[in-house]
Amino acid sequence: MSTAASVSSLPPGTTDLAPARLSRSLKLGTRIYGLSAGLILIVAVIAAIGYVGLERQGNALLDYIRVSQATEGTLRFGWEFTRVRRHMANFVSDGSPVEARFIPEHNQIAGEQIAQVASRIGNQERKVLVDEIGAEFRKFVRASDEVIALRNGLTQAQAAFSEADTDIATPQPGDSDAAARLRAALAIVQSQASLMGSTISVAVHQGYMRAAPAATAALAALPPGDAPRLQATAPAFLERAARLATAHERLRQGVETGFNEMANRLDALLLTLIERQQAFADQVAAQAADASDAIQRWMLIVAAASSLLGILLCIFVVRGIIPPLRAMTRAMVRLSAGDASITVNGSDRGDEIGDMARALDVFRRNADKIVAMMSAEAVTLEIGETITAAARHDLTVRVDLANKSGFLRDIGVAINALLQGSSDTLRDIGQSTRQVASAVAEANVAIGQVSGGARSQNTAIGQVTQALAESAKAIRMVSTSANAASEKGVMAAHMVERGQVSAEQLARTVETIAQNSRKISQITQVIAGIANRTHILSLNAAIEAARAGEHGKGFVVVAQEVGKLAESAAQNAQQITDIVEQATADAALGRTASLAVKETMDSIAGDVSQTSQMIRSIAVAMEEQQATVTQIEANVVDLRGIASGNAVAAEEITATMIQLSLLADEQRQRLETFKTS
Amino acid sequence: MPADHLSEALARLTALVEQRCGLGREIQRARLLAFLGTAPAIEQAMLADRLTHADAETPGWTSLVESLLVHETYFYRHPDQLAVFAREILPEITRTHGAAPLQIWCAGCATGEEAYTLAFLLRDAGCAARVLATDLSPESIAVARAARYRRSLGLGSFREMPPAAWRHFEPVAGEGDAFSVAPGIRGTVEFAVHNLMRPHPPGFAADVISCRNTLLYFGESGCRQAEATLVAAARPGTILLLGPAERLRHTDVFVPMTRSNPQILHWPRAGGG
Repeated sequence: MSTAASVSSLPPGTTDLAPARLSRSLKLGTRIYGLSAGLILIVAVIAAIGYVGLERQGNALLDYIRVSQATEGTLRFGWEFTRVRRHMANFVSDGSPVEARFIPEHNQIAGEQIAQVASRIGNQERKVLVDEIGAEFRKFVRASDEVIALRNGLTQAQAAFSEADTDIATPQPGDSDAAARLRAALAIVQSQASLMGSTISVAVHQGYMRAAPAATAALAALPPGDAPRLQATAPAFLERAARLATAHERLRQGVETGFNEMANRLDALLLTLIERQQAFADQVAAQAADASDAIQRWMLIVAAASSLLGILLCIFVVRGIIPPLRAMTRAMVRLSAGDASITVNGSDRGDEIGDMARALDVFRRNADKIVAMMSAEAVTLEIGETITAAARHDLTVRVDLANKSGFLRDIGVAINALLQGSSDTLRDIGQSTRQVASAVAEANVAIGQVSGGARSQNTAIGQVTQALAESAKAIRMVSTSANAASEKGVMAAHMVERGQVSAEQLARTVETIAQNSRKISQITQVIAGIANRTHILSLNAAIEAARAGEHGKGFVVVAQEVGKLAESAAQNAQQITDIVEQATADAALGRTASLAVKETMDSIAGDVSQTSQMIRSIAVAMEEQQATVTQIEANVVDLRGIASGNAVAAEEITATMIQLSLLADEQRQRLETFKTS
Repeated sequence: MPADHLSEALARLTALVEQRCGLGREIQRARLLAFLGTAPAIEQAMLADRLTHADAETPGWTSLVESLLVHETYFYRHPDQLAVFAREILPEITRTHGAAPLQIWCAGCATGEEAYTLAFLLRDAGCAARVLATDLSPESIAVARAARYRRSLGLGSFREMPPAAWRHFEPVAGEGDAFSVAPGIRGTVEFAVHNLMRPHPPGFAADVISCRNTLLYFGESGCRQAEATLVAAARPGTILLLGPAERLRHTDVFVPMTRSNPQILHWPRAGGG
């Protein structure tokens, strides 16, 4: 077993021993099945021993039970037998028919019991004994029947004696001595007779035997004639007593010599039987105890031996399986951890461990590839992380090429190139987009300016158009008025001529006015004097009217009005005087002025003809100008249309630029989510 | 202080304009200042306040809106896109559509050049179609209904028109530089005033929606509302034409049909292309 245990630890080739070779070539299944078979065999041996022991124990127990049953039957027989004897004793003493009925019943039961005992006992010696007891018992039954019959005879005799005239034993007054002696003797007989009815014994019988002759003698001694009745009845009395005594004696003999002897013999036989049964039972018990001890001993020995054997077997099998498996497990664990440097022992074995070792060796040889694949997986995961980061718009990540080789390195290089290219492209696009955005913004500003300019231009052209229209109108008006002025100039010349004449007439008129004014002044003074006097008159009239009282009231009002008129007349006159004075002065001035006018008119007359010529030339120039402006106006209308179109287009371009800048901004925001180097 | 008051008033007014018409505030600013003129700041602020409290139907408000709108449009605008539409899209939808006339909605048609251009294309392709053209500006719609366009110098309506398209026009007698759209075409185009901030009449579903260079004037909230209106008027299979600088920002119902021209979009049919 030590060789089996050391299989995995010993180097291959050193195990040349036959058991070792056997243990290395035995299949593990075979070993385990063998171990199980050995253990089952041990259990079977123990079971067989136990079975034999138990069978013996059972037989002993069966014997013991039979003995016990026989003993029980014997005892019950003895019990019934004892009851028969007891009932018999009672019956014999009192003769009760009730007791008599029990006796055959118990006899029958006792007979059945003894028959059963006989059937249960296999032992010849005891069977003879039992048969003998049976035979004796049958005799005993017959004896007891006889005793019963004897006792019944006694009872009849007793009854017959009781029917006899017992009064004769009673002393009678007037009895003679003889009669009295007879009567006394009879009384003794009577008492002995009554004793014999209840007590069966020799002494009672002997007592009678002594009394009876005395009574017979007393009877004989009685003189004839004395106590005739006594004399007549005493013989019958004595005879009956004698019969009673005979029955008593026979019963006594039957009981003592037949029944009791029989019973005693039975007792002795029973005792013998019981003792023998007891001895047999003891023997059976001793046999069973011996058998039990033997079984226990054997069981103990076999159990100890088989336990030892089983343990050794287990050790043998387990040490051949577990250590190589443990070594294999350690090797597998190390291999699973990627350690390919293990040495796999036991591949030369022919059992399952050998299979495992050979399979494990294949794994070990593949371990290098597995390590390479595991590292490839790790590298692939790393590359995957890089790609994931790139998918999250982080284009700054790169695959680390330092720890990679082969196709994974090629992939890494390709991915790095892709990332670099994407990053560069996106950065370029981002820059371009920013440029586009800024260009759009600039263009937007420029277009805004253009738009504003176009609008201003439109407005300006509108204003020019308006101004042109205004100017054309003005030119038309100027032209018209120039023509009119020309005509007016001619007319003015004529008028100047007439004005010269009129100025002279005016001078003269002014002189006349001055003269007339002086005349008016004189008249006015006269009017003022009249007005003054009228005022004084009105005051007087008012005073007079006041004196006139109630009747002058109306006139006071008239006088006041007249006064007011006079006052106003005076004022008017004064105003007229002032006006006239002013007119006089004006006339003087007018005269001077009209003379100046005349002089001016003279000079105008010369200028007017010159002006008239100039105006005519202006009118002609204006007509020409008007044609030119009309031409310009038409062109400006066209220009206005163009400018208006420009302005509208510029507005739309502005709106478009706003949209473009929005788009560029959106594009820029989307690009900014990419993290580029 | 008046300057602050003015800027506040202008901010309120631009917000109201954006709410009612969808126009972006940045777009509004220059035109709004031009509209308010060179009056003193206090008068400008008062005018802006008055407009802020004016109903959308009052003449002051409508004239403000008219002045804020930019009606830049001309026949055959963005010819590349129209060429792709006529060459690749139109045959496909006429094939799948059946006999009933196509429903075309020209949203934001300005003075009508866009709508008529679509009508020309459909006529040239031999498709029976009804073009509904809408715009916020009643003045522009009036111009569009009149269908008379002048051939002017500079950036006029005919600036990019291919010579072959002249056959759809008739010269206006007595006016050498004015042309009117042929009556046969005019009968297929219906014009209406419509605000994209309001939903279309229920039940209207267009096969093709052209909304080019309209959304670019809209602010954030205006775009959201206008895009909802467009989606409400569309159904699976509807084609949507957008201007070159425009993008749908609030709906992903429409997807580009081709890589070459991403401004032609469609609502993909369930389970199909």
